[in-house]
Amino acid sequence: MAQAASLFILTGGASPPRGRLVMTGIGKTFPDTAMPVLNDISITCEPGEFVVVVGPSGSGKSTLLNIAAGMTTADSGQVTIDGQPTNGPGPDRAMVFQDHGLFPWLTAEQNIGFGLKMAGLPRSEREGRVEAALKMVHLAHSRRKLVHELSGGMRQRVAIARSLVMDPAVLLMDEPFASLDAQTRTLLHEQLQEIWCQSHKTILFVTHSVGEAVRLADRIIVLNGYPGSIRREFRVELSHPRDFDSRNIGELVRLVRREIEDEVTRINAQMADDHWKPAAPSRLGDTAGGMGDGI
Amino acid sequence: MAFRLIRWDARIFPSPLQVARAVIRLMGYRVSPVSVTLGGAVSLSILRLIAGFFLTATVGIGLGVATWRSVELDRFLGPVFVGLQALPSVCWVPLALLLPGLGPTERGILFVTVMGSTFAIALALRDGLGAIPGVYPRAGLMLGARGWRLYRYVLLPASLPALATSLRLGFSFAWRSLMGAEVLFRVSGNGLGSLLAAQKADTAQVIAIMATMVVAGMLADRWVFMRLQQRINARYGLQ
Repeated sequence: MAQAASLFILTGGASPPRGRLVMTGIGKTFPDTAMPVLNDISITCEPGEFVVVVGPSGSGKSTLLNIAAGMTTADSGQVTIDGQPTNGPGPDRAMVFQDHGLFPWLTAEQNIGFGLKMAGLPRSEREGRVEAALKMVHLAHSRRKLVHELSGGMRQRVAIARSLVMDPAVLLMDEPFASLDAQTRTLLHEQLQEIWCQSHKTILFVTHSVGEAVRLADRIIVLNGYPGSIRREFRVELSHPRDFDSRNIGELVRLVRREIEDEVTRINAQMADDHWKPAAPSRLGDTAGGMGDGI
Repeated sequence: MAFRLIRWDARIFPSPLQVARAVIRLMGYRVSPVSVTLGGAVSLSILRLIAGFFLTATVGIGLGVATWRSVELDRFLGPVFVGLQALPSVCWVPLALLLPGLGPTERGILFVTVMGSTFAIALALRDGLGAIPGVYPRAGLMLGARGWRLYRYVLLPASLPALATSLRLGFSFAWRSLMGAEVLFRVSGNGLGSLLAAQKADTAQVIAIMATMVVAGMLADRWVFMRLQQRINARYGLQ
């Protein structure tokens, strides 16, 4: 895959469309629990589609992503990329981790070039591609900074560049902006949209934030927890780039939130002791006050 | 001040000046049974330390990596290492004297130096390696670092802070063990410890030699190990 990578990472491969991720009948039970984490989940991401999986914590959404990445093996089911079954982790399914996972002993540009180096690309070719990736995330001036010298948002941008420079078939993102402050997160939402519009990558993105999902997704998949299964799908028929403050987004957030609130209540009740009384649904899911929802 | 008040006996409690004079005196002449100057003793001890340190680091790193990689091995050896590390290094001396091929020789001293420090390195390294965030190997695999490449380009650099910490610890253990071994093995040697053990009535000389031990150990720690650790930690953004 890596050898066949296009030089033009911004355009990806124009034809034929690449990056169809198909997960069929995925089931997973961890040895120390009786309840499966994931139960018969099937998701298809079409080439260039931005799919966001939302679910309460414990719904197995990260496990699902790790299975797509090949970091975790599923007990049942199959993952294919463009018809080819996947085998272990690899640069065709690049992942952006929640805690960035950048190598602290390398500079920003060395981190971005790491995968290309592992793929055996000559230095001259690496430099050009790293340069393009740095520009794409607007970090050309910070190329020689070490990881600890970068801010949280910059680290995630380097992590995104490090994944995209490999020209992956799909980009997997595991709550990548969860630990950022609200302003930085909005900035990165805008940048990710820009990058996605330029690169036309298939993105499978996992988050617990409904607002984040509505801002970014073409399609939102809501997961149930215990065991993780698909509850409902929403299509977000809003054109990109989006105005995050628009009415449409607010309405849709409310709609999806309502879908998820029962589930949050149910899981909390299940995990709490007998003395805990679930709050009235209106208190959990009320967005009329405009408090935002942690996006 | 205190001098006058409690009728300080300079033969028992020498002044810093007397200790300094003793250092100069010891530099100049050979103490009778060991026939070595202070400078000669220091250089011999440092040579022994270098040899002992390389050996103990090799063994300690090997044991540390092995117990890190294998849970079964760690379950078996981990408590053994903790127990042996708690044993004062001089307690290895009688065994070194009895073991065939060792005895009161250079090899015996080397044995005590290694046994007194290698488990500290192994344990510190194992703990440090265990604390490497799991996201590094996962990111490495995702970016195509498979097989030996994962070790060379991800796990090795990720382990450098732990390595530096464990070697620094191991060095101070090795220095202490060596000094202890030299004091007890004085028949064989003319290292710094033997020089100390050969002292009879001159407190100033005793303190002069002890101070030399402290200064030598401290300088090596500061100039080599602390500097190494600080450089690595600065790069990795630790502390």
